[in-house]
Amino acid sequence: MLGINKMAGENRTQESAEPLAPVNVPGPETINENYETVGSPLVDNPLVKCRNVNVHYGEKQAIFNVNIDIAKNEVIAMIGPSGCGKSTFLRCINRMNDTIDICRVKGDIELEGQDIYNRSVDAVELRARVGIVFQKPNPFPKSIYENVAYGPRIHGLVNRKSDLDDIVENSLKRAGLWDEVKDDLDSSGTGLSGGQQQRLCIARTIAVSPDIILMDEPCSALDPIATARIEQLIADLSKNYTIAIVTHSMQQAARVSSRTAYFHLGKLIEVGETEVIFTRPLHSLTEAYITGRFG
Amino acid sequence: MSNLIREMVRSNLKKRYQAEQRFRLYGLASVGFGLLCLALLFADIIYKGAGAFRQTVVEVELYFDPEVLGLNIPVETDQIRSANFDGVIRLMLRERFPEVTTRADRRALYGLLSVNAVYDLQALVMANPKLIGQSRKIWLLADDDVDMYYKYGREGEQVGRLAEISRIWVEQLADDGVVKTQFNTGFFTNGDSRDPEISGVKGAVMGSFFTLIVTFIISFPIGVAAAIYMEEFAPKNKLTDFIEVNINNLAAVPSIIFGLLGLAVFINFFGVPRSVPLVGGLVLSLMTLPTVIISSRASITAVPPSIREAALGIGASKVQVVLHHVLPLAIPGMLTGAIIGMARALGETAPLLMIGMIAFIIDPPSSVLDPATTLPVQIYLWADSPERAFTERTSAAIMVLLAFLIVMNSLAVWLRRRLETRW
Ligand SMILES: Nc1ncnc2c1ncn2[C@@H]1O[C@H](COP(=O)(O)OP(=O)(O)OP(=O)(O)O)[C@@H](O)[C@H]1O
Ligand SMILES: [Mg+2]
Repeated sequence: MLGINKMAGENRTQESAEPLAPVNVPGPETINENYETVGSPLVDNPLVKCRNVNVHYGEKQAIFNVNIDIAKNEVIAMIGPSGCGKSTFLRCINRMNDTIDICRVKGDIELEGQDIYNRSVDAVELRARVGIVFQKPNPFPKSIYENVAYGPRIHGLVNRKSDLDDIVENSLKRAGLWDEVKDDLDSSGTGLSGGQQQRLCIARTIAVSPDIILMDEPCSALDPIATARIEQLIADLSKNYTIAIVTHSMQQAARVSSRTAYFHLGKLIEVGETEVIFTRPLHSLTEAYITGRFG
Repeated sequence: MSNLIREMVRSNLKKRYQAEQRFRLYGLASVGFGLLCLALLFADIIYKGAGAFRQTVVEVELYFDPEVLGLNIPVETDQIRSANFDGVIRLMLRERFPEVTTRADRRALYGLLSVNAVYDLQALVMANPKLIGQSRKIWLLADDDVDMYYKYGREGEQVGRLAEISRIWVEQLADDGVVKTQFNTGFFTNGDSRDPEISGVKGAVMGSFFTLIVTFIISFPIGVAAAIYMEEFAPKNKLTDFIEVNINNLAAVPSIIFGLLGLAVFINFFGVPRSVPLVGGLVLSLMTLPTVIISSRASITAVPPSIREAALGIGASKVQVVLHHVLPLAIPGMLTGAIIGMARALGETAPLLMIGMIAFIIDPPSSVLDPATTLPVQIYLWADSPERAFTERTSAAIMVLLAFLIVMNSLAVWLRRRLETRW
C-alpha cells in the first residue's frame, strides 16, 4: 500500500508542475471549531443527511460539526489520516457508537428523512437497514450457512427453510463467495481465508437487504488479489446499494467511489466528486494528503 | 558485524543459555517436587486403604433348626423377622469348638462373627423360607477384629485387639480352609455403621452427590446470570465497582463463615431441616457462587469483542448477542469454572459441620431432604474412630473422594472439549 501511495505522490508532484489554480485555497490555519466543509458535501434528495454532527469520547471530541449528505446508490469514500475520526463518523450512521459507553453523539442524522437518533427509532431496526462491514473480518464461529442466515432469522424475514436457503444462496452469490463455498456451507465460517471471511461478512450484511452498507476499511487485512475481488464486489453492489466506505488506500477510493470525503482531525475538510478530489482538490490539506505529504 | 561485537554476542549468548537452562531446571524441579508429593500422598493412602476393599468372611454350615429359631411350621414371614438366628449361629460355633466352655470364652467365641451376620441370614431365609429345617453352607462376615487379624496380624503385624484365644480359633478355622477374603461390596453399598465391617460409603457418596447437585443447580445459573449482567449490561459506575470488589472478597471468606450464615439463615430463619443435602447444597452454593461468577466473567471477557460488534452490526439486540454468540463461546469456560468451584465444595467439611451434616446417619439418603453426611465429613468421622478397621476405611474413603474428584474433573474436560470442538 505504502509503495502505491508514494507513487501517487510522485505522480502528483509531476502534475503539480502545472498550476492547480484552486480558486479559494483555505490554508490549514483556517481549520477552527466552526470550520465549514469545502466542495459539495450536500446533494439533492439525500438518503442520509448529517447535520452538525459532533461526537465525544468522554471529554475528548472526535468529530467536529460535520455536515454531509449521502445520495442514493452512490459509493462514497471517506479518507483521511489515521485517527481523524472516519470510523467514528461511519459508526454514527448505524448507531454502533451507542455500544460504547463513553461515546456521545450530537447533531442530526436522518435516514430517508427520519432522525435516527430519535427516541422512537430502534437501534436494532436501524442496523438492519444500515449494515456494516468491519475492518477485520469477524465471521461468527458458526457454519457459513448460519453466518448468512443469522440476520434474516433474527429479523424474522423468512418463515420457511427454503426461503432462507434462497437468501443465503443469493447473498453468497452477490458477495462472490458462492462458488467457493457452496459445497460446504456447514463448515465453519472462521475456517475460511481472510478474503473469503470478509466476503462472508459482506454476504451476511447484504442478507438482510440493508438500504445502505457501511464499510470500515474492508480490505485492510487482505492481499491485493482479495482486495481486487472485494473492490469488484463493491462495484457490483453499488448497482443496488448505497455504500459508504472508509479506506486508507487512495487508489481504492479512486477506483470504487463516485464521491470522496476527506477528514482531518475530526473535521470534514472537503467533499467532492472523486475525480475532482484526486485531481483538483480545493483545500490545501486535501492536496497535501492525497499527494502523500502526510497521512 | 565486527569480530569484537560477534565475540561479545557469543559470550553473552552462553550466559543467556545458562540462564535459560537454570530457569528450565527450576521449573522442572518444581514440577518434580509437586509430582513427588502427590505420589507420596497416593502411595500412603493406597497402602493404608487398599485393604478396606477386601473383607474377611468365614464359611459355616448352619442348620436352620425351627426349634432354635423359635418358629412354628408352617412358617409365617412375619415370624422370620423375630426368629432367633443368633441362636443358630451360636449353636454352630459351640459345636465347632466344643472345648470352649466358660462364659467369657464363649462370648469371645460368639464375637468371631459380625453381629450383623444375623441380618444376612434373616434376608436369606426371608427370600427362601424352605431353608428352615435344612442345612446350608454360608459365608458369613467376620468381626472387624478378626478381619484385621486375618488380613494383617498373621504376618506378625501388631494390629487390633483380638484376644490370644480368638486368634487360635481363627487359625484353626483358617486351617479348615473356611476363612477367606473377598471383595468388599458392602463398602460401596452400605451406609455408615458403628461396626466397621458393615460400614460403607454409600451414604456419604449419595450425600455428596445430592449436595453437589443442589450446589450446581443453584450456583451455576445464578453465577452465570450475575456474570452476564455485570459484564454485558451493568453500567460501569461506583456501585458496580463496589459489587465487584465484594464478590472478589467473598471468594476469600473462610468457608466456616458460610456455615454459620447457613445455620442462621436457612435453618433458623427459613426453617430448612438440619443435616439434609438441601441445606448443605445451599450453603456450599453461597461458597461456590463467587468462584462461578469470577470464572464466568473471565470467560465472557475472553469472547472477542468483534463477535459482539458483528452481531450488533447486523441488528441483533443485546440479549440476542449474549444468548446467540457470547454464551455459546463462554459456556465451556463457565462450566470449567463451576466444576472447579464444585470440586472445592466437594472437599468442604467446615461449613457442613455447622449445619449438622456431621450427624451419625446409617441410611443412605434417597433425596435432598433425607438427613445425610458427605464424603469429607465421613472421612473426618472415621478418622476420629478408635477401631483399626476404621483407619483403613478412612483411607479407602479418601480414595473414593479422590475418584469422585477425578470423575468430576474429567467430566469438566470432556464437557469443555465437546462444547468447544463444535467449530
Ligand atoms: N472507543 C474509543 N474510546 C475513546 N476514544 C476513542 C475510541 N474510539 C476512537 N477514539 C478516538 O477517536 C478518534 C478518532 O478515532 P477513529 O477510530 O474514528 O479514527 P479513524 O479515522 O478511524 O482512524 P484509523 O484510520 O486509524 O482507523 C481517535 O483520536 C481515537 O483516539
Ligand atoms: Mg478506523
